[in-house]
Amino acid sequence: MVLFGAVASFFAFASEELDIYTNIYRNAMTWNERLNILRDVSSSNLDGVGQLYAEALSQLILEQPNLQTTAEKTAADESARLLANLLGDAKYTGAAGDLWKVVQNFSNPLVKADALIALGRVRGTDYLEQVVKILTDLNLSPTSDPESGQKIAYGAILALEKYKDPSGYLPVFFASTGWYNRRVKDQAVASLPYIIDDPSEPLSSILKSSGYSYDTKLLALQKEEESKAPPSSKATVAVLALSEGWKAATNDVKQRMQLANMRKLSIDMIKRYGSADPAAIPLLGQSYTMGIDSEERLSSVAALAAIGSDAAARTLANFLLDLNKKRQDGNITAEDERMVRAVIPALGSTAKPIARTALRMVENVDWTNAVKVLAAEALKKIP
Amino acid sequence: MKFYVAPIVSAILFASCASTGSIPQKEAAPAVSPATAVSTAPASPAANSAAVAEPAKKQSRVITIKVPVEKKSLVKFADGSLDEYTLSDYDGANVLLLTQTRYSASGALLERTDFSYTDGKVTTKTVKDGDGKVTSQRLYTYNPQGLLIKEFAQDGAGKPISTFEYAYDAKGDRTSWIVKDSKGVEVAQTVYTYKDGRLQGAELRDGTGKKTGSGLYEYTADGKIRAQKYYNALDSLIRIESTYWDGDRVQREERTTAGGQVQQRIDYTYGSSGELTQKVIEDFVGKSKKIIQYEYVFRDEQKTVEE
Repeated sequence: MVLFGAVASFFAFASEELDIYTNIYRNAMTWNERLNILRDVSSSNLDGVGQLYAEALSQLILEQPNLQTTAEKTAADESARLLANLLGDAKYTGAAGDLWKVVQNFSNPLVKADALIALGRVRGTDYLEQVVKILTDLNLSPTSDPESGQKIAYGAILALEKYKDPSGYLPVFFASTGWYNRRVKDQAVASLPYIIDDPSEPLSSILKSSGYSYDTKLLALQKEEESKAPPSSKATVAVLALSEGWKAATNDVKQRMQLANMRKLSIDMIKRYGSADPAAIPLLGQSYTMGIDSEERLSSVAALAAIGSDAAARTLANFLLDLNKKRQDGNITAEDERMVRAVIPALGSTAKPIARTALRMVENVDWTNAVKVLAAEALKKIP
Repeated sequence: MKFYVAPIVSAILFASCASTGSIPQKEAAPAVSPATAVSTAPASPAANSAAVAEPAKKQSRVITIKVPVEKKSLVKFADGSLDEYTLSDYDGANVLLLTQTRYSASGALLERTDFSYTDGKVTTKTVKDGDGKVTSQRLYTYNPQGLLIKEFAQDGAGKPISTFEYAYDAKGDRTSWIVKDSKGVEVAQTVYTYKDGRLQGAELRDGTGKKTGSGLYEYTADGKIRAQKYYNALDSLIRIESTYWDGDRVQREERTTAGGQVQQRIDYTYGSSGELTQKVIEDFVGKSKKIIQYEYVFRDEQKTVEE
C-alpha cells in the first residue's frame, strides 16, 4: 500500500519579514545601508515583495542626482542593479516606468543593462520601442567606449528575448553579426529563437532588400531554417531566397559562392518542405541548367521530384528529353550521365503520365542498359 | 513568517519530510512554528510532500518514504513562455543541495549558488554572478541542538552586510530574531509568543526596543494556519494573509488590505505524489503575474515510525 501525505511546510508570503525589512529600510540613512537591507531581502527569496522594491527604486531615482560621494554613487548603482533584478524577477510591470528612468539616468552601463533586462522581464511594452531603438542604434557602429556599448547591447538583447515581440527580432539578428565581442554575438544567436517562433516576415524583408550583403541574406535564410516556423513558411521563404539568388549577379568569386550557397540551402529546404508556389518550378529549372555545380543541379532535380506536381513532372520530362537528344547527337558528358541517373527516378517518383513519353524514349536511345532499366522501373510507377 | 532559507531547502527540509511519514502538526504548519525551521529561506517546494509505502501492522513500523527532490524550476511569464530556469545539483544520495544555477531561457548563465555543509547542515551559501564573481556569502552557525542561531552575511568583497541572531526556548521554539546591521548594531528585533504549543504572535521592535508592529496568528479547528494579521505600531490592522487548504495541502494564499482588497495571491498545484508542481504568483498592485513550475526526481528513504 502506498500512502501519500503532503507536508505543507512552506508559506510563500513574506509575513512579518516584510514589515521588518520595510521598517529597517525606511530607517536607513545611507544608500550603503539600504543596499545591505536589499541584499538581505533578496537572499530571503520572498514572494509578494514587489511593492517594497518598487518604492525603493522610486526613492533611488529621486535621490540619485543628489548623491555626492563615490561610495554613495557606487551603492546607488549596485542598489539599482539589485532592484532591477528583483523587480524583473517579480515581473512587476508597475515599475516599468522607473526601470526606464534608470536606463536613461544612470551612466553605469551595467546598471543600464540590468534595467533593460528587467524591462523585458516585466514586459514593459510601453518602452519596447525605445529598447528596440537602443539596440538598433548600437548595431550601427561601435560606441566611443566599445566595452560600455557591448554591455548595454547585451542587456538590450536579453530584454528583447524576454519581450518576445516581433519588432525585437531584426535588431537582435543584426547584433549577431555586429561589431560586438563573441559573448554578445553568441547571446544574440541564442536569443533569436526565443523572440518569435516564426521569423519569416522579418527575415523575408532582409532577403528582399537590396541593402544587405549576400552573406547576411544567407544568414537570414539559415535562421529561417533553424526557426520553429511551420514548413509552409519555411518553403515560402526558401522560394523567395532562391529567386533572390538568381536575381543577383556578380563577378566576385566569393559573392558568387555566397549566392550559390543560398540557392543550395533554398533548394534543400524546398526538397524537404515542398512548395505549392508555381514560381519555384522555373527557379529550380534555372538551377538545373545554370547551377554552379553538380550538387546544385542534382539537388534541384530532387526538389522537383519532391514537389511532384504536373508542372514539376513536365520540367523533369523536358530535362530528360534534352538528355535523350544529347545522347542521340553524341554530345553526352560525364555530368549528363550523372544527371540522367537522377532525372529518371525523379520522374518515376512523380507518377505523372506526362513523364511517359520522355521515359519511353530512353529505350530507343543509345543509353546503357543500366539507364534503360532505370527508365523501365520509373515507367512502372506511372499508373 | 518565513524561517526557512533557500539553502536549506533540500538539505534540512527534505530530511524533515523524510522523518515524518505522517503529518505531525509542526510539519503541517511550520510557518507558524519557528522552532521547526532551521533557517530563514523559503522552504523548497520539494519538501512539501512525501509518499509513504509498506506500513507495518505493529506500533513500530518501517516505512519507505518517497521524497521529492527538486531538480529544475522554471519561471514563466503569464502567457506560459519561459523566462528563466534553475538547475539544482545534489550530492550522490540526492540529499544535500550543492549547487543551484540559474539561466535565462536562452541559456545565458545568470547566477550560481554553492552550498557547503558540516554534519549535514548548511554552513555557507555563496552566490556568484554570471561572470563567476562572488556577489555575496552567508555563513550559518548552529547550537548543539542543531538549531540555527546565527546567520552572517557579507558582500563579494568580504565586507559585512548584516547578522541575524535567533534564540529558542527549552522546547526548541524560536523566541526571537534579531537583525544587526553591517556594524553589528541591532536594528530590529522580533519576539515570538506561543500558546498551547502554537505560535500566537510576533512583536516587531526597532533597534531601541520600541514596538513597530505586530502579527497575530489564527488557526483552523484542526490546527492549521488560517490567517496572519499584521498591525502597525498603533495596533491598527494593516493587512491579512489568509491561507486556504485542501486537506493538508495549501491551495491558495492571499494578502489583503485591512479593508479586504486582495493585493497578492499565490495558487499552488500539486502532482500525484503530493509534490508541489506549480506556483502562480499574482500581484494586483504591481500588475504582475509569474508562474513557477517544479520538476523532481524521487528519493526513497526508509524510516521507522512509532504509532
